[in-house]
Amino acid sequence: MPTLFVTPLSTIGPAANIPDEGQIGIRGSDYDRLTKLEVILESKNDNDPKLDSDFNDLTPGEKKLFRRRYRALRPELVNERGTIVYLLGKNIKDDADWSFLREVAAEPPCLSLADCSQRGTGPSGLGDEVTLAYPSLVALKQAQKILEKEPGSFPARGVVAAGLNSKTPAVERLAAKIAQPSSAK
Amino acid sequence: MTRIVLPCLLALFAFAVNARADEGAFFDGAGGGPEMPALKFEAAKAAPAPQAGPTKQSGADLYYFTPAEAKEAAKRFKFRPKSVGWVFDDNVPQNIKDQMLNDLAFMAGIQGNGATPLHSEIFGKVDGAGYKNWFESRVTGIGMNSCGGGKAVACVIPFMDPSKMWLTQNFVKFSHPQVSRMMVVYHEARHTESQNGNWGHATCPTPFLDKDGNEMKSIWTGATLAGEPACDETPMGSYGSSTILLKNISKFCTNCTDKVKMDAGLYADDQFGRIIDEGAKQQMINDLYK
Repeated sequence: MPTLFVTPLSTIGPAANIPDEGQIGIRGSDYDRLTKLEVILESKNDNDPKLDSDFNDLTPGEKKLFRRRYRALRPELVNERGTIVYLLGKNIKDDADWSFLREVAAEPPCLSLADCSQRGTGPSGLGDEVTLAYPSLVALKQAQKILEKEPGSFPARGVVAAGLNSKTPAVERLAAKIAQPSSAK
Repeated sequence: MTRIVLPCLLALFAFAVNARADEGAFFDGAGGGPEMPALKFEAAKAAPAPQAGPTKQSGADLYYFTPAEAKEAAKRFKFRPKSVGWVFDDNVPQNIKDQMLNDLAFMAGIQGNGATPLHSEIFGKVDGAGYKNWFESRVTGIGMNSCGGGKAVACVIPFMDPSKMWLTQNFVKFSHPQVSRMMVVYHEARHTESQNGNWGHATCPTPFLDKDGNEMKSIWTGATLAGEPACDETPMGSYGSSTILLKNISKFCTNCTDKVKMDAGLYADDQFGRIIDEGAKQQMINDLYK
């Protein structure tokens, strides 16, 4: 079995409640693209062209691994988690995919980059409201892309509805903007 | 008499130069070097009383400076050759240097196929070489500072040096999309422009409401931003220019990943919320959103 995580285990938080995805099988080769993703995340290079070219047509097994990885990451690793949401959002095919996006859009607020469970002290940084909500905002942006092609998409609307009920102001605002009849890009 | 006067005058001019020994710009009397003002044979005046220190921070939001601090800094540092590049201080940790160099290389590699009028006015084309030159013509050095504490990633402190950028450990300690780090860096680089009063921020209005009528608050402290120097009244300031930069990257970058373009759009829309003048807002809407 190849090493699942390239990044140190200290980045992995306690296992979250993982919904039953027992029906989805995982093959050995499904780990290859997860390993490739780990290397990109470690590099902190969001402009790696492989993000656009090498993660299309993910198999159900690969997507299950990506979701598992997402849930295992500490919630403070917002860019890493957001990148996984971004890749899964490009590969939506079934109910499990939509269920995941709804789950992310509905996540509770992360209160600080040092510790999501505690409010920070001292002055904030530029753009922190976006950074703290990043994975949820990415989920909404991926749903928005679907709605731009299929305005009547029921599952995409479900993701937006989850965002509308979010306790994170930045998420609720973006969901409200997307839900408007002619939402601006 | 000449043997006594000349060394004294040379010493006076040594104080007037913003020494950057690594670039050989320091006048050591050996000939060559930058053009010096004409000699004036008069007694040296007493040095002006030093400013008490940088602007006291309220702690509600990011690091800020007052127009008075910017003016004082321009007086103290006025004889400054145009920046031709920057250097790291020795105490910048290697991991921060590496991240900063990688991020700046990302900016320098951007290619684009257009630019809005406001972007053209501030940065020129959406083009990495232009972004690199823009940064390097403003920033002379990068060092480490707490930037008032809190979660700031970077700052410029005119009192200490109006052309120097300070990074904090948060540059690498916390997880940020790459675009957001560069947004901060380019926002702060705008603050180095002494000739423009360092583009100090405007005071946010009271009450300060978002377009849904909710009070704008610091995400950290929950404190209201009303009355804080955390807004801009012009598209050309640091919030405005970084909004314009990011929105143009999201619209026109031809070699950015979709993630980068998405991120640039997300942060641009967020920063736009700090523009409080209706005329400035409309100008930016016409430029970026139509």
